Amino acid sequence: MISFYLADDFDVDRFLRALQVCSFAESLGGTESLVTVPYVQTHHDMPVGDRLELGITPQLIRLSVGLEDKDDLLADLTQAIAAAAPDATN
Amino acid sequence: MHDWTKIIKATTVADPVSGAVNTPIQLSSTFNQASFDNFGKYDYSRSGNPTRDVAEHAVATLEDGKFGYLFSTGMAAVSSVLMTFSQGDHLIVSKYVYGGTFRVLEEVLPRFGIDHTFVDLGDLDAVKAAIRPNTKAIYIETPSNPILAVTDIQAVTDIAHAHGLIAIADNTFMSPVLQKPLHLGADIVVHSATKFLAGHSDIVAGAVVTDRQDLADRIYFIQNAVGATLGVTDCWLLLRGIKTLGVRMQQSSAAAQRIAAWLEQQPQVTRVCYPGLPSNAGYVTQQRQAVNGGAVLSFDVGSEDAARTVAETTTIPEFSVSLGGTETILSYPPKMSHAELSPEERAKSGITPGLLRFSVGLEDPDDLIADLAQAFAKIGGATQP
Repeated sequence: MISFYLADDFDVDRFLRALQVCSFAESLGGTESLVTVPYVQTHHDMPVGDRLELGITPQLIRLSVGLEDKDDLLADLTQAIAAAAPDATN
Repeated sequence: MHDWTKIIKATTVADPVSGAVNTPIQLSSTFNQASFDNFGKYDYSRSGNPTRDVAEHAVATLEDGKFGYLFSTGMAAVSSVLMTFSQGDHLIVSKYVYGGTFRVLEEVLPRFGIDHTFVDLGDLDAVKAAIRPNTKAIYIETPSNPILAVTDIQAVTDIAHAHGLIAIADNTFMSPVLQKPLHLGADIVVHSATKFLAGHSDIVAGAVVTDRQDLADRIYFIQNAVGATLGVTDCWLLLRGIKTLGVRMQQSSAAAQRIAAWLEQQPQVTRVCYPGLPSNAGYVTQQRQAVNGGAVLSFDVGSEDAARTVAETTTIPEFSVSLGGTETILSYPPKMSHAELSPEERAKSGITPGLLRFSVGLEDPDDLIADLAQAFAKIGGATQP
């Protein structure tokens, strides 16, 4: 499991839509790599103030790494992050 | 996209209706037709089923082929491919072929006028000499069962194509992660998907893959007309098993390499058959056409009595038929996979009375070696570390 923050000027929605190898879905621990946004998914029912106190911001991405080839995963994350950049064109 | 990624993407095709990452189990024999004049894609599950479609496509993708077909057992797959031939046709078949394939060739197909010759495919001159005007195909199985004899797939498929023949390759032992016969000139690949593809000793299943539309049409015709299709729930379980094919083959083949090297040092062992060992006759060919020696090996402990001692004294492996599961399986070919052959036929195939086949699973290899060592101690002679 890995969690990381996208910089504030990076668009989480564009990041998620650009992913090809990883799936944007709840849960973790499967053979397929899964990306979750705790702020809107797993921790949605926690009060906003509590979320922020725990460091769960809208830019926090949680990644459950599956069994895909790691080079393919790195390439996918790289292009998805690039697509989320403030200067990226759609 | 690398193999391991293809495996995951092919086995987690999102359901368009719900978004479910796993394919729904579509248990329906029949499908409603919305229009009197235009029928939908599915009408009857023998002819096509959405769950089976995903599983068939997954197997085809792994072999880098376009068309995949799933059958109720490995023998159903093999037999269905052989039924694409006709009365008067002749087939050249590896002399080390699996006992079940042997039986269909010897005792079923001749009744329908399909003839065959068993040839050592390692002898390319013998292969060419066996070709007749009515020969239609060469049937390869490598590494062979159970002595792990290696056939040079490209060399044999080259001969087949030079003479207008189809090349068929049974890729059960290696799985597409370790060997891709379509890349080596094979026209049709068959699997007992029961083994490494499903990988969990839970289902029996067979698979056929081809890249050629004309062969795909012939295979589909038999699949639909004869109807030995894989059931829907088993298709789903096959997908589940395939998800871990990459990691399973990596671990099992690495363990098999270690165990084979250890066996080679033991005085109780007269012969080790594993194409990953440099001492093996097929080593060079195997390294060229496959990633490694695979997860199956066999070894000779000199006599049926010694084989019995090993089978009865080891505690970790299952003593059973089959192979390719997460548990290590110890088999005795003379009474199991090759019981169909006469003693003379077994001797010709190198299946000696002391031969044991070992399909390496996911247990710790140190434990497997220690278990074999204590069993060998009962045969007599000291074990080497």
